[in-house]
Amino acid sequence: MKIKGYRRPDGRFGIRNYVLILPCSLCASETARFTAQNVEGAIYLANQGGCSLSKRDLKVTLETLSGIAANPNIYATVLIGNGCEVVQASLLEAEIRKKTNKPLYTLVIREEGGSIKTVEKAARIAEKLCEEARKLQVEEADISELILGTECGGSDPTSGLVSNPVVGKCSDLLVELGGSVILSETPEMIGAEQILARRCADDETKDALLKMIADYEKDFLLVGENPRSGNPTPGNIQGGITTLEEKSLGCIHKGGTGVIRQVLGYGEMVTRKGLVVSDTPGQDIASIIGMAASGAQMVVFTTGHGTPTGSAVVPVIKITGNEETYEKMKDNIDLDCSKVLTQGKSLDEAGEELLEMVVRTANGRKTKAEELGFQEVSMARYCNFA
Amino acid sequence: MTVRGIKIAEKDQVITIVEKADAGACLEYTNGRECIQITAAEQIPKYHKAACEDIAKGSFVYKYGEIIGIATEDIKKGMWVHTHNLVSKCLAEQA
Repeated sequence: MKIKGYRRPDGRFGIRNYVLILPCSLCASETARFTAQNVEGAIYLANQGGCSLSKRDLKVTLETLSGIAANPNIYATVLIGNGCEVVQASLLEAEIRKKTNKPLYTLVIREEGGSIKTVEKAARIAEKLCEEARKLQVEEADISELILGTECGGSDPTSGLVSNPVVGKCSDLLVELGGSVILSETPEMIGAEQILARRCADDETKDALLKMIADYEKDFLLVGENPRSGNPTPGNIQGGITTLEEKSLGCIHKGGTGVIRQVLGYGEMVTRKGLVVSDTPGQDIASIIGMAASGAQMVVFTTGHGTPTGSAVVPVIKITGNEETYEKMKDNIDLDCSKVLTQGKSLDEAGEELLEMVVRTANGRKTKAEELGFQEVSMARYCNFA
Repeated sequence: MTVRGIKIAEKDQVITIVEKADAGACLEYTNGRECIQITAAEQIPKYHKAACEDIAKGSFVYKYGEIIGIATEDIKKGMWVHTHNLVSKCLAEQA
């Protein structure tokens, strides 16, 4: 099976073709936004962090921002720093260079002489880059070059019953075709760790997975909370979920049934084919940005109650198993798989239908969130601002 | 009255029903090859689980092709499976 897109000089294959205006910190964000708004084909990543960071958060921020710049949907990056932030432009530039050899330009607001001068220069560079990007020939590539992120949010009983299993079928199909699938959201794995551990390719992967889940739990215990005791919630139990493992299984099912080949820290790059696990938070948008930094070119997002989420970097396909939600939120949801419930359509058939939509979206079909121009950004962080 | 049930994996001993079922209702599901009908032994709420085979007390219960808990009593085919007859395995092991 083939998909259409753009071959990057680092060998990776993108399905979108953007020039990224990337602010190093919140202080450079408005200057970056102003630049992107004035150049057609440019996107901007609203960066709310980048300064007053703990060492751990600095590492995660550098990993994430450099990963986003390296994402194959990005043709080139214009980096804008203020000058005094913790994420120094030179530091981030070096991190990006480690991951990719795509075009990269750096500007520092203080050195350029303020925002207006920076915007003028950055916009001219971005304009030239967008022109180059538009001249690129669309190429074909095997679907095995696709890295698909999976996400769920606004869950209801139909999520674990229909939409997550449908995404799981699609994930299995993509893995069979040689592609990669990212299973995200560490808190959803609590209670299913032994099940996931059995599916790991080797002991090293298994140890990394168990450590990842245990560490996530420890962070909650540090602030006196226990993520295990509150689940399933009274609402879940009323909705038909009996045990913690049943709830977690409903969530992790979206990754399919494949062997787990790799465990990634937040934003770390996917380097293996097949199913991989990424340490992302339960917050949908931070999870999507983490997967985009890991190299996902697209995300499939299941929802029961409906949600508008999109992303500047990756198309986000939203799917629901709840007929009523689809009718109410057609503007936001791409695929209705409720016929599994209402008409006895098989999960296999629905999974194939989703894979077909994934291919069409790779080939240029706009998602509902893309049509609306939605570009939510959130990044994982661990400590309060220093 | 016929109510549709969803069996997610081959190995599963429970189906999830998509509408409320009264005692005596026909629960219909497919195992991927053929359509199977069982009778609800009692009233079961919407989106809750019904046993699609007999489950012995103390044995593991499978859904999603994985263990979701341990049966605390004998559960006959067609019976409602929930907190009154199923407990978490991982929490039982932790205690």
